Amino acid sequence: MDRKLTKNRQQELVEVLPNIRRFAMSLAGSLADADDLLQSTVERLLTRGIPDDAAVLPWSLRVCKNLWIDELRSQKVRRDATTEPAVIGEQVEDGERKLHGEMTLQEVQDVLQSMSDEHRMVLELVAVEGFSYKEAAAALEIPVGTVMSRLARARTALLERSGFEPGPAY
Amino acid sequence: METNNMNDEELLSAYIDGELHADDAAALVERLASEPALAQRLEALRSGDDALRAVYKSLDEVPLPDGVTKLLDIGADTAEESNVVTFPARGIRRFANVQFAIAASVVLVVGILAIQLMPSGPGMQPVDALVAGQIDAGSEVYDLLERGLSGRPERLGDAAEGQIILSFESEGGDYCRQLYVTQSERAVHGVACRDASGWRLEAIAPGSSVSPGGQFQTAATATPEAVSAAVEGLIGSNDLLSEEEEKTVISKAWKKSSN
Repeated sequence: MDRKLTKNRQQELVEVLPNIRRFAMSLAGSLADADDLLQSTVERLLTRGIPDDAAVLPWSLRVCKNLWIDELRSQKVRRDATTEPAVIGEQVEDGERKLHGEMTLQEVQDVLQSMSDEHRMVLELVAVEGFSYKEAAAALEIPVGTVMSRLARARTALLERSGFEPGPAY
Repeated sequence: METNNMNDEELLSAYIDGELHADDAAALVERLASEPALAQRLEALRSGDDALRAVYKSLDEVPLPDGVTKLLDIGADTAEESNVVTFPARGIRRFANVQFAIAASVVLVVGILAIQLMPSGPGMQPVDALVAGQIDAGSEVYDLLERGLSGRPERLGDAAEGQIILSFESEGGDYCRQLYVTQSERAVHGVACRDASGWRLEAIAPGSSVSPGGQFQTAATATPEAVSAAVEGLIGSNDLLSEEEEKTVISKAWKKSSN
């Protein structure tokens, strides 16, 4: 493989691999597909490099997202037509651990599976990775206002579909 | 965020993320004090976030795929290290002084709300005490502020964990510290300043929840706007204290050098 990533940039990439993987999970919805996407993203970054003026994580997430949308999503759709998708819980032993006495990990995973890519992506970036709306907007290439409204709808959906709704939706 | 056209669900969501302007956050906090259903909804949304983080955290327990570790020549040790969760640094943003004034009003409202809602008295858990605006001498939080060094998480009693994020001397001449306390998947960011009578809370805002000792390291990376604004307003053009400077002022019990 003809590598265009400097050693320093490669080290930076290694440090953010868990972040890219979680984001890939938000896109793919299953660990197997997320890891395929992660590998494709790493290959693309190694062969095409990262611009000197770009931060590694946002750039990597953008590459990951575009790879998913342009190439891998259609493969998954075709495959899912005949097979059941795997979820994280198949690899993690405490998938049934109770959260807050109400939701189990498996239930949350099931809810995530039922949500749109757009909702999962924005939730993962902001609620899990701690991105600001501006940072998430840049990574997803959408307006900040869209991040805000999409995030609110995603959170509402998360609660509604999990049946975990102590308070009314406004 | 502009709040003119936001519905309550968007307001609450932006509040959770620390994305509301300080005056809008203050208005929302006032409503939360008088609208129990709204406050309950806020807690439900936060619980959803907690569950979400737990799901993604469970992903970090699964080793990286071999294909990726080979591509990047990651050895076993490095692969393990790479599973430590890292988040992008979110620097302190510059705010105009007017926004600090607004942030200060948030503190006031939060304080009123907290006193109304929270149980008080000795033995209160660290997060509850902070939310109630209390930093009592002899409490774990007071001790953290008095003796902790920036960037070093410390246990606060049995169930909480705290960390000093940074320290500085305010333009008004007081020493101030930004801190972060987590407890049972609740988290708060705050800024406290020291005067002759002890530590007083200048700002407080909810933060991302972190399990004590868990992999999430969001303390310094997701400072809510209200706390950032308070820090910016207090610090003015002064610099942050270095670790050596922190050690010096700690050894002097935060008293200014006297002649």
